[in-house]
Amino acid sequence: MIRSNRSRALVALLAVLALIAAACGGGREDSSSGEENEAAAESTGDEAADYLHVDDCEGDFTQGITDDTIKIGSSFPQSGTFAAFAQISTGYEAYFNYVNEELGGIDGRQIELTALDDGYEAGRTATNAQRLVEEEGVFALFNVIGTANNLAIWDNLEEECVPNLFAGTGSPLWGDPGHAWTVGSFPSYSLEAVMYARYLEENDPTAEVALLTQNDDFGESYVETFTQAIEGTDITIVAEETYEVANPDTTSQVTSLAATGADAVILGTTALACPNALNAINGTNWEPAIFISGTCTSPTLVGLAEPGAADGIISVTAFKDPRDPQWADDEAMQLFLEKGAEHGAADIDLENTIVAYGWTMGALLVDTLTNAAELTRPAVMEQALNIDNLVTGLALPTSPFNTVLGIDKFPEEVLQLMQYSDDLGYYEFLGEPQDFEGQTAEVTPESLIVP
Amino acid sequence: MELFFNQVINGIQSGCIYAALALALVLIFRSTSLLNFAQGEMAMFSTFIAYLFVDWGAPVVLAIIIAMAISMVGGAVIERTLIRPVGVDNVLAIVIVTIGIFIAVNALAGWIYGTDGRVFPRIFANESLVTFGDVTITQETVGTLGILLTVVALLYLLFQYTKIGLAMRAVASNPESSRLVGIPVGRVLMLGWGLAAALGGLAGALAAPQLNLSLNLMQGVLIYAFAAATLGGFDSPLGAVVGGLIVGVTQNLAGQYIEFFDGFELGSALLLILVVLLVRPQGLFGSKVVTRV
Amino acid sequence: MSRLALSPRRAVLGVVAVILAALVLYIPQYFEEFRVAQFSSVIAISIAVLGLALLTGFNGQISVGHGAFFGVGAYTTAILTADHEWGHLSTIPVAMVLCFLLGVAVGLPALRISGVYLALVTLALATLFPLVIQKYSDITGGSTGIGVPDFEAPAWAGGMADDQWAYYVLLTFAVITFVLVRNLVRSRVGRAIIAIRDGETAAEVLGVNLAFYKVMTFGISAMIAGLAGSLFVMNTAVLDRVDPAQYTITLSIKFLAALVIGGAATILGPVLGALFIVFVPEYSSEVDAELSNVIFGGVLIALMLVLPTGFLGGLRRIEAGILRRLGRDGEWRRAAGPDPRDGPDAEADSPDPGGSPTVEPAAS
Repeated sequence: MIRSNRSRALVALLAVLALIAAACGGGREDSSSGEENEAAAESTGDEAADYLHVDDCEGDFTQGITDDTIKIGSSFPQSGTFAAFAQISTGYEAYFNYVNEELGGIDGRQIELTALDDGYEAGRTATNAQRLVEEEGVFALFNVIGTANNLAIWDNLEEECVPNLFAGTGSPLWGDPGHAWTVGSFPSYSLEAVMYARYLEENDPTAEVALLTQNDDFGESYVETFTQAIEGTDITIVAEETYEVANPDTTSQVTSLAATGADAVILGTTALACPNALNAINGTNWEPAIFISGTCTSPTLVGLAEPGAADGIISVTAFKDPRDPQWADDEAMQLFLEKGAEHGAADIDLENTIVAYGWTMGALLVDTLTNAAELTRPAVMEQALNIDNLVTGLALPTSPFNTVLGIDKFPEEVLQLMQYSDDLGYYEFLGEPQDFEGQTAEVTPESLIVP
Repeated sequence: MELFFNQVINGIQSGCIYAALALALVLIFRSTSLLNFAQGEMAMFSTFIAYLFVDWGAPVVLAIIIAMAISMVGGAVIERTLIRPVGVDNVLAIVIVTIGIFIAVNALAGWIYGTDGRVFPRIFANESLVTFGDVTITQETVGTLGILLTVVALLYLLFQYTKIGLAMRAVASNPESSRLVGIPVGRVLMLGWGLAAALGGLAGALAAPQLNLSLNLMQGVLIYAFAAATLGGFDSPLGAVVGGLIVGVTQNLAGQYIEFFDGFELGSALLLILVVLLVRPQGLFGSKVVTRV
Repeated sequence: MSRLALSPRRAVLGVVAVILAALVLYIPQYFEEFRVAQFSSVIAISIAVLGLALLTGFNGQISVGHGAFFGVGAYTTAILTADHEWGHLSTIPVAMVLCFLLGVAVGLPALRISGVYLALVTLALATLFPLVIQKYSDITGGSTGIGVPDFEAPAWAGGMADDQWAYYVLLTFAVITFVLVRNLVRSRVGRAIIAIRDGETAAEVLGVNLAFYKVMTFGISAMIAGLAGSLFVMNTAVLDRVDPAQYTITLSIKFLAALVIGGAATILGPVLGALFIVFVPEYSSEVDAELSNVIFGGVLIALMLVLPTGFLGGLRRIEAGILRRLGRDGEWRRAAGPDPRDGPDAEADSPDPGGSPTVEPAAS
């Protein structure tokens, strides 16, 4: 009997392994494309070649580029708790379809997107990224969502010299020159905190501020940056509370903060904690000035707040809001609404600001690929690191994308303060846009920049 | 001082949510001696059903009642098709099945209803009923508590004074003998699961206004509900409510006044579970279990 | 027939084993880097599930918290190699000792709790683990996590790639661990452990020191899970970071699922289970990403309905069913007769009956 069980196990294992081998296929190869790479490397400027350590690169610089296709890969949650992020992809998929079908692609090449599901798990993102590069043969990774997820892949991509373009997170970590092949997209969360500090300095210089933040690096960016930004001013932090990602009920924390009677509160929150916190504040007698994270501003989040709870909240943006009537006749907005409906998925939500963000990312990628000297990895990266005041997609005309090789790796550093009005149903701009061009690394506390 | 009372009231409010889910857990345990790890997700799913009816124009109370009825059927079906074939004795397999239901129901809800959050209407208004200075007790808090206590009373009547209740108690205590005496064990088990599912639906409907209806509605609540049921006693509905309130209040007060638990409130729930199981495993109101040798 | 004689059955078994060994050894030469890394993680996970099998399958103490021990092992290795420049392999003893002590620490109060209550406590502990990591972020890197230095193939390995090296190292540890655990289970100690699962009171009456064995088993089980976590982290070819989101309650649940899918009280079941939980989500994602978890949950449920004793138990039933119909004289019978090998109970002298443990929900 003992032997029988073991023999069963052995047979079963054999069968399973055979299945997997058949399904997955082998394909272990040596990557030896030295000559091609040399030729490609020559077309890149010296400075860029240096920064991108092109000489040490092992991979194939033209992988994923054929005469009629450009293969792009991405990994983001399409299932599970964070599946809401998948809506970003509806934006850029619509844009790629538009470019492919109406504009003939990029230089006659169609954009082919392979998007794998990682359920927001960094381990799966890592496997997906490698799989996209090794098995699917993509040219570049694009808009991978999640800070931990990008951290799990950026070392390997750096070594293999694969572009990790326009990561979908606002972490200040992506400014790291040690990972030249990774570029962010979202304005850094730390910039927001500085903007709120400056606004308070101007409008309420002796303000007492309460902080409610998520209990992870996202929330930490707000706390540490704001603390640093108010040094030397008369603004004081009177209370700090955090909440768990898994348990976004902030009633208790808000009660605690309300007891201080602070003049202002900064909500470093995301997802459902946003409307929850707004409702909780609304339920007390406390009436602080409310500054809320830019990640909360979509109608699918703030829209869940009780009537009146979101009135007057202040946030930031770098993109045009589809609900804002000032863009009703705007060409880019009309293009988005028209082509988005035509080329997007049947259930695309064109009022959702994260879809607008996705659309803009698609435009940014297409522009980068088009403006690159040629379609090789170093050349495209050089372009991504040298974006010259580009207003594309639904970026605000005052918030162009801008990077400078070796100096500024943050594409979006100009933010517009805005305030929500319940009556109007959208955000009104407050004051002039704040230009942090090239300053993200300066204003962000060091502890947030080193991973 | 006012802060203290406000946190206590917050604690009662969240405690009611824990208590509601704990009631469902207790009901299943009482009728089948099983822990249903999928209770929260089933509750969430049924809240989405209620939401559908609200969306179609039904008044919220009616929508909830309809959803509870549908859930009742659903719970009975789950028992019959997924739980009973595995066999109550195979505890490990049951744990896996309930976990499988957890995963599948959550994903199914996402596929059907999408991943965005929704606003769920309140049964009671979020307006103050009584106010002492800065301390407010809302209609919602009192109303929710009232509903829970009514449910406890009804369950008590069910178990103590009806034939069905007696049958349920018999089946939970000794299914074999019950079968021999002529009790339709299968149908009683289905009833137990059905009732529990309905209660879960109620729990979801009570939680959703504050937490916003989404896929994750019950995920933060489940472990606290387990703590509540452990504290109160897994076979006592009253224990579930009392336990829930204590867990809620402890969670808030610990988070407020004890440095260690600030931002770490789940630790207080865990501590509670551990202490109860070590010191008095049957909980405050549960009955002591004696094993026959 | 004497033990040493070569029967056809043994010959077939030998051939199967050899082919299997050859395949397993050939994997790193055949597959691309990311697949090899995936197989390496299967190996690490199967070790963890083996530890769980010892505790839950053979000793009857249900743990929904082994992801936490795994995580402790993982973080121990990560912290020591990243912040203190230890060599990767030298962190293994530290991880194992630490997890053993933790296992004992949990096992002691667990003496008073059993069945579903123990499941509940271990569930709570596993839920708490990522929060504890975030709480002590100075040491653990908080939610950003820690980058683990590459586990590189040494010079004498003849130009082997890092992913291949990691695979072979993990495989070696796995083989050693599986052999040791199998021997443990078959020894007197193993019989005591199993006796406790099958009936505590009876075992006690027969002279088995319950407290000692139960706590010891918890400790050893946790130690094995810690070893697994430590090895998991060394698989740096594809993933070179630890962060708390990788070690949540979901992981513990997956371990338990893997255990039951493979066959709770078997030695090789954990390997099948590990293959399942690593590869099935990937394939279900390809079928339909949104429904992938529905498929995964559905498969779990279906497996428990059809094969409540896991794959190995299921194969046994199929085989028994076939044998019943064949009868002693080899003739195929229409009607099924009773077969002594069928049924959920083990034979008297077999330490791994392929059946599932029965656990009372009552508090002890």
